[in-house]
Amino acid sequence: MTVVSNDDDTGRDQPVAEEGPATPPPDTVKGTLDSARRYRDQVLSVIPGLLIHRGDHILHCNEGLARLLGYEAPDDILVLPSVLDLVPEDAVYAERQAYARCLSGVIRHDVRRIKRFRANHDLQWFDQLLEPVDWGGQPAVMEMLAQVRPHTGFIELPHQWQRLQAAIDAMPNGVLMLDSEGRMEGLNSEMLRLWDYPPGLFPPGTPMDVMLHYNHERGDYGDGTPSEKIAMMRAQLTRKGAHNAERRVPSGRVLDIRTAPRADGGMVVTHMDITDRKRIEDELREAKEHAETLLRELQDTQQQLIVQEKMASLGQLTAGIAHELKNPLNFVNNFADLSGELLDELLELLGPMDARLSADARAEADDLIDSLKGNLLKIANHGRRADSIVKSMLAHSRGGGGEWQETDVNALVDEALALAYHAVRAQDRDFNTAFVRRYDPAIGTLKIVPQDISRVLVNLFTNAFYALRKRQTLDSTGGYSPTLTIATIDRNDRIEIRVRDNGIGMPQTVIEKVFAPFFTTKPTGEGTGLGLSLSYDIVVHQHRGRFDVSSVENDHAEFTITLPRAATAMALGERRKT
Amino acid sequence: MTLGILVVDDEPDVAELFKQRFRAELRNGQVAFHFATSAEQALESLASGLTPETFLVLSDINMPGMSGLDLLQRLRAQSPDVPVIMVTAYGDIENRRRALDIGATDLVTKPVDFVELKKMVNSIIAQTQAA
Repeated sequence: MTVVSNDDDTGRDQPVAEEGPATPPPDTVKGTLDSARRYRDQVLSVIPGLLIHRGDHILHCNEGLARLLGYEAPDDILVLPSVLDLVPEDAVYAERQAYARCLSGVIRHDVRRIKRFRANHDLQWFDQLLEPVDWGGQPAVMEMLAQVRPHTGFIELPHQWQRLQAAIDAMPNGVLMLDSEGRMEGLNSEMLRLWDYPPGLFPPGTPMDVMLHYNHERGDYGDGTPSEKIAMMRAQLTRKGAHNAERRVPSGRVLDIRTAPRADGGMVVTHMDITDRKRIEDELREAKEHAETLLRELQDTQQQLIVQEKMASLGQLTAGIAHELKNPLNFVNNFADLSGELLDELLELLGPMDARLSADARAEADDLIDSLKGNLLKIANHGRRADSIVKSMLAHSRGGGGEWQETDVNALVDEALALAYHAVRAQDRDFNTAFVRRYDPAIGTLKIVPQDISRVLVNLFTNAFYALRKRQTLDSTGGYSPTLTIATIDRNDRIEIRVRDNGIGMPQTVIEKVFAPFFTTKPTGEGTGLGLSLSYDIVVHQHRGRFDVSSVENDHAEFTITLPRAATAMALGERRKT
Repeated sequence: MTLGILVVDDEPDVAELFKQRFRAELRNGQVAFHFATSAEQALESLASGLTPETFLVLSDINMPGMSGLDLLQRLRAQSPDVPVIMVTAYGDIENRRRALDIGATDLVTKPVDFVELKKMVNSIIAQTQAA
């Protein structure tokens, strides 16, 4: 696309208005009619192009405009879907602004230098006047376009200079030339358009300071004091050597401004429109940020999946081991029981041994029998312990057969709390703790397996009580008051249950392993290390929720269960079978 | 009269366990045990005739080869009068339901609680004798 400069060939696109004295007087009627038509063309060539529009709709267009833009007839313009079809992309913003102002009744008295597409899609510079008019009882924009004519200040210039002006007008960048005294020597149409300067505002010889003051009064430099700002701009513009700056100008465009010194001490300032490049850069940056966010989310999800998979396969392994151990353990327990019974029967059968044994031997026999009974008791006790571990392990792969049902979450939480508190008080009557309950009534009901979630909650509360008791026994200051905070929060598509205790807390190394099967911080025999592992299974695998933990050692521990409102009903262990 | 009980389980030590658990009943001749370590073997023994006559069958479900449920199905067809008690794994709801559907007289859960089992056996004896 080329910008057509037309200051030196104003008649190029017009019919020849005057054919000189060579045209002989007409000697036929047709000849006189041709002459009248030629005169009409001559008149049309000096009448401005006229376009009336409202919104984007073209309401009227005169023959002068059709001629200026190289169309056959006004009808060819009237069929255009929008008045903005005549406007090049980089000027749309500025034209919309100007039209809107005009439509609101603001009359602007100076001329705008603008460019328009011609019928053949070339670009041409015009001078434009806008005026609000009444069209069919409603306001409309009357747009008048005229050929660009040389400023009166330039008319006296030699022909060479006029050709130079034509050349810089054809350039796609804004150009400003300053002489060695800092006076404006020339500028082009793009410069006028970009800065929204009316043509003729700065005739040649205008001092640069006047231009800078004009900009300041117009508000281009914000609220700074004029002297300061202008001195700075002046310093920038007159600095020797290339200088770059980036600015947003009144036409809504972003410019890359470069100054280059001339050999004679003058200066050439070019203004390159980089709006599109900036927009693309912005879009690219946004796209990049978006992609990075997605990647982060993906990595988080992946991490979570890895943890889930690990937990699932550990759970599977656990259940498998438990299943295999169950039968042999059953025999151990049964035969241990039986051996005790048989021993009793044997002793009864033998009757008093006093008569048959010496006193020493009898004492030794009694001692042996006591040890034997003690051993059998130990086998039975440890067998039962192993049995309870096996049962917990099996619970990983088999649900308690609980049904999915709409459940009042707050009631369930409170019930589990009471249950766990009774259990801990049964063990230790001296234990006491403060409760802070923050139940969100907006939660209402949720479709879950209440037995399983209750199991999770009781387990969490029991752990919390353990941590509170532990800190209480370790506390020497006496200023410690155990507190358990339970909060339920409605988050629209999901709910949260938070259990926070100010007990002994956990170091990072413990937090990392807290959901792993068989991991326990309790002394041997007190915990199976399966409570949280099973809870994780119930919350994450069965209920498709999240289980989060945070803690600061000797300060607090907080467990957060997040359950989705729309979970697909699934039995514990069902996922593994598939 | 001595009642014959056929215990079907792939674990051979089950025989020793039952003999010791029911040692009093065995000693006074109330019951006599027959053991089979597979469902196939159980069907063979029943076909060849056992003395004393089998009055009750107690069978595990998970066994290599023919399962306890298959055995139950065959027994229901062959000798519908013989009560069959099935031993199911803890929490195995699916197999419990199927065993009852096929026609198990009763169910006991592993690990077997022998006090419960004895009560069950006694009540079945009482019912059969009353009939």
